[in-house]
Amino acid sequence: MQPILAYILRLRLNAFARSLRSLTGRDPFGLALALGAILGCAVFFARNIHRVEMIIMIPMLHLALVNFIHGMRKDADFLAGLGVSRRLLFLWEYSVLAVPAVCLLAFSAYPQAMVLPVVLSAIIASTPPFAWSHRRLTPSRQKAFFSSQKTLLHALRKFFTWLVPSLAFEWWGGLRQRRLALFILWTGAFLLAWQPLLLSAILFFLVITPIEFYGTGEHRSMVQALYRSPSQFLRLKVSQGFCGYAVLLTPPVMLGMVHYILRNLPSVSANTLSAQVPLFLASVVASLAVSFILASLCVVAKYAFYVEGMSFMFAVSSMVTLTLATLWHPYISIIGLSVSFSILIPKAVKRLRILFS
Amino acid sequence: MLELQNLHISYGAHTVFASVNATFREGAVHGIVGSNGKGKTTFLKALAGMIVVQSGEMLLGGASLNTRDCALLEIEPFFYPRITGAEYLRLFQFNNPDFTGVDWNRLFALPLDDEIATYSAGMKKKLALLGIIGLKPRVMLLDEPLNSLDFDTSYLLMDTLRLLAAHGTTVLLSSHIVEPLTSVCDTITWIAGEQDVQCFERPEFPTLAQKLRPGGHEEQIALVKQLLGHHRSDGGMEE
Repeated sequence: MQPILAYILRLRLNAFARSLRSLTGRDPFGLALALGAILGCAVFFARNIHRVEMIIMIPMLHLALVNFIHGMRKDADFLAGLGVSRRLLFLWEYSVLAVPAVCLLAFSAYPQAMVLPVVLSAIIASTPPFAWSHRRLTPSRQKAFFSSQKTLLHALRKFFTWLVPSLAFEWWGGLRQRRLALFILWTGAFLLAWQPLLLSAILFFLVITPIEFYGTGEHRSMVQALYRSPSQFLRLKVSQGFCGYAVLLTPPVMLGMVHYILRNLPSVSANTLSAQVPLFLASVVASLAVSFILASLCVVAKYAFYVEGMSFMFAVSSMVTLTLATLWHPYISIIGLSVSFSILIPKAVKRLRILFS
Repeated sequence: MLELQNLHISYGAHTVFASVNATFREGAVHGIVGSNGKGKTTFLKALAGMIVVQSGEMLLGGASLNTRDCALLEIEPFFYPRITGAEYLRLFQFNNPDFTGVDWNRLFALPLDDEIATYSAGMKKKLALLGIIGLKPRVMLLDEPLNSLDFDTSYLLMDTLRLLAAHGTTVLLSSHIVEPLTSVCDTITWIAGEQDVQCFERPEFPTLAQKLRPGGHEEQIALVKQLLGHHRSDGGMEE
């Protein structure tokens, strides 16, 4: 490895350690969350590591993490100025991030799946982050890219404005930045519709989407521009988030349901169908309800930790991990979410009150 | 000599430069001015190899310009989160082992052991400047370097740039305002339009501001007056 690559990697690890130290050292709530998340993860993986779902879930978690980091990268020009190979650096960084996933998969039912996180890291590292991808296109392709983007974006924007005539700028920004990820989500949800893994996969993506959209803390002046009382402001943001979330994610779920029903119709008798379809619908509704609650949690957590992005990510990831970990025990999930809301909502209102004062 | 021949740069259908020619002497300080959106940043980024140039030649000393010869200071420099000033400067030492950040920091006296996140906007700009100097490029490209710098540091930077030029570095710096450039630059290039790039030499500087801005803003001022009158009749600005 080139010395400068090793140095940058070391800097990144140091920075991560500093973030963790400041997060747990300053805020007892952050410390409790960190311990809870570690405990939740340990219990979850210890109990479920041999399940087949883990072979999909662990690489997907890794993919989501890496994709999130990759999409936010702003160091392209800086690295170019230093004469560092960006792809090589990304590959090293993401491979280091893959170590926990690789270790977990080593204990799974199919240790061969260890290679998946590494391969996914390499794929993500080889693609340009979307924000600067247009610079790599040839002039003719650049022209085609811009015109196609314009048409598609205009159509999407028109549709979105019609459905969400509001100031939900997280969703505007998220839609612009993550449309490729959303396209993959929609296609994936459709293709997975016949799989037994459907629910966990959809739930996972439904949770990841709002986290990604709400990941960026808007500038304080933007929050103040939407001046309301803290509680009103929070209600407004939750409803906007809820609305944007429903608009974007209901179509793939519906598509998946239709696909599932069409696929199963010929193979089952009328009796089994009447028993199977309501069960399927009930589980879809349940998973949608959980993900809607988690989406609201994202909004509340954002303002509870405003504008510390790292704390926000950590809090929401902890909640999601705990929810997923206790998915097989609905009462624990409900208690966990209720406790989270009862802590986070007053915290968010308090933080907003300081902003508005 | 840094030569640009028939440079063509566009973003999709939007053309920024069409068949632009310009020359810049080596070992001199050159100012780039122009209105918002005319392409000052694009121009500098193209030289640094950060933007695709559709056609044209960029030559340095008669040979094709190697982007490794250029270093660009962006308007908002990038810093990895949660790293210290010293760690940042150490990055530049890999390209130039002779560069000692601590010695150069005597220029600005930045708290290098603190995390960059605790720096003010001006301190960040100074740190990024030290990094660029550390790269020791043949062509130094500075995009709005005076933004967020205090009065004293601005003069210090100007004098430093003159010294760098005397040591053979070609400096190109952009600005929205002409006046600060006249004291330090050997030439000032005005980007007026996609095909209209004009170069002015030092003897022309005293009358430059008038040349670049022949008319006033009578129409706009009339509009502001009209709008202010409109607000007053409505009972104040909308909240």
